[in-house]
Amino acid sequence: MKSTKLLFACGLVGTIAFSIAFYRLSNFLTLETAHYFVFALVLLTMVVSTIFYFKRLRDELKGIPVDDEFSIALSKNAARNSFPYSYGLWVTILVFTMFHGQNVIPIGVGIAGMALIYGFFWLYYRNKGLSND
Amino acid sequence: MTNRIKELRARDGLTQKDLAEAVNVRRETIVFLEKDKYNPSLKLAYDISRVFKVGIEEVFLFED
Repeated sequence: MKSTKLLFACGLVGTIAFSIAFYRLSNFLTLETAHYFVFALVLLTMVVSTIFYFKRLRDELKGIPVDDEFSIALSKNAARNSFPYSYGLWVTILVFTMFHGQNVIPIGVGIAGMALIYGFFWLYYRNKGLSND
Repeated sequence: MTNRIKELRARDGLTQKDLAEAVNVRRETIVFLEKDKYNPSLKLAYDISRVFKVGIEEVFLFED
């Protein structure tokens, strides 16, 4: 119960912080600077994906199970909890897009935001554990 | 729920890696089990107790 309240509070604070940051960002970024943002996002995705796949390949070659019941449960929990926040993120982006009329920047922020939200919950449950008592 | 995995592992001279290999999970899963941060599936609990050659109720302790 305590952790649910904490999660809700974090989500609320995160949404407000994101809304303010996004409002500032959308005023600051032009389409030209947005290209650097997209480039950084693509680069980050490529680096993370490469590390992830090499790690899986290394485990597979060593005969270690790539996924087991704990890692699957961790991913499921992170995905289940990140979904409503990601949904809220896209709704917030949609509202801001209506006023600013740009598409590239909001989509980039949305993709990066989804990854960050999922990463946050993955780390949260990895640290807290998955007790179903 | 708590468990005696660490104690039984020490009794049998098994490392976390050995136990993980014996029950076909990642070592990380054994770490989380020993810290009581994860409750295993019935199959995994059964596999672990079989490695230690004891009953499930001797490895996993349920508290009211």
